[in-house]
Amino acid sequence: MEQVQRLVQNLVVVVVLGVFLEMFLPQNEMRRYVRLVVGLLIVVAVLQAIGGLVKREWQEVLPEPALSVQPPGSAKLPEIMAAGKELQALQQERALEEYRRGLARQISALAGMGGNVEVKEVQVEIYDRVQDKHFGQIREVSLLLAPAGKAPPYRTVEPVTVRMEQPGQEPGGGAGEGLPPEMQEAVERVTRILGNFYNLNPSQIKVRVEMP
Amino acid sequence: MEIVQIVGLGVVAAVLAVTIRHNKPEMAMLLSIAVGLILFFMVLGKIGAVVELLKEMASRASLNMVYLATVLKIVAIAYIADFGAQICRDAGEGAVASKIEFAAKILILVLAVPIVMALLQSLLKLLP
Repeated sequence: MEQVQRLVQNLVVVVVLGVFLEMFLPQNEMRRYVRLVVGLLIVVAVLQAIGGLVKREWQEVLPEPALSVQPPGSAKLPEIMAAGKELQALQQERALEEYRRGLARQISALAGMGGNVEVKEVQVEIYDRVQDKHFGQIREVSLLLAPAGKAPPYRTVEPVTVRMEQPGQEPGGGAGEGLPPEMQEAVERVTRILGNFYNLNPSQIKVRVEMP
Repeated sequence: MEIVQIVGLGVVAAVLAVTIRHNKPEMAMLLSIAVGLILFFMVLGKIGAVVELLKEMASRASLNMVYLATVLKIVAIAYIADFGAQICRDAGEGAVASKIEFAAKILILVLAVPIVMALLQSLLKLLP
């Protein structure tokens, strides 16, 4: 369509050029000869404009019969399509893995910003199915924290579940009850920062603490 | 109003030529040549804008500039040959005027050869 549009534009310009050249011609016996040459020029311009389009269309049409004959050793179209889809899936998986790693690095940096905890391990789970409406969002974050500056050996404690308490509600007992108060506070701070930053529910953030 | 100057010069030259033609016909011919050249150079500067316009239109039509230059040369040949042939006729040399026109036709056809070849090539290109 765009080629036809360009062709029509060229033809319009050629016609205007021809009329303009016609006005330029002398009014004598020479006029016939000059008109002949100008007419030839206009025919050349029109043929050049049409010829480019026709030749391109032929080039688009001509290879078609050649496609029906498969050269020896060449793959069939379904195989090529399958290979393409496989390649696409592989690239998507790599992209998701890279995204997951980047998120883990970012979460590790965010959690360790306070300085009083050391992030030992970060695991990020994301919605990795394209059909999922939350595709690409974080499903769950698992953190393994340790008090900063403490030397091994460590003692792994049970997972700590942090609940956001309503004002006036009595603080209930949880899995993190056995932690020292400063560690409990650090866990709550990390959970709050991550929840606010990534718009996550506290239930999506699992924190484990290694105590020496 | 350049046209007033041009028409005035032409009329005065014509009156002078008619006046002196009986006594000095050669001077009348020189006068008409001089006036013709003056009129030509007076409008020569205006042709540049027209040629620029033609060039722009040709480039918009994806037309080779060689062809346009050829056409402009042909138009110039036709005008110059006409100018010379008329002067010769005024001088009573109709035979020379015919020869000038003949030479101009030959030159025009020679210059048209590249365009004819381009037309032939374009037609051959259309064939599969």
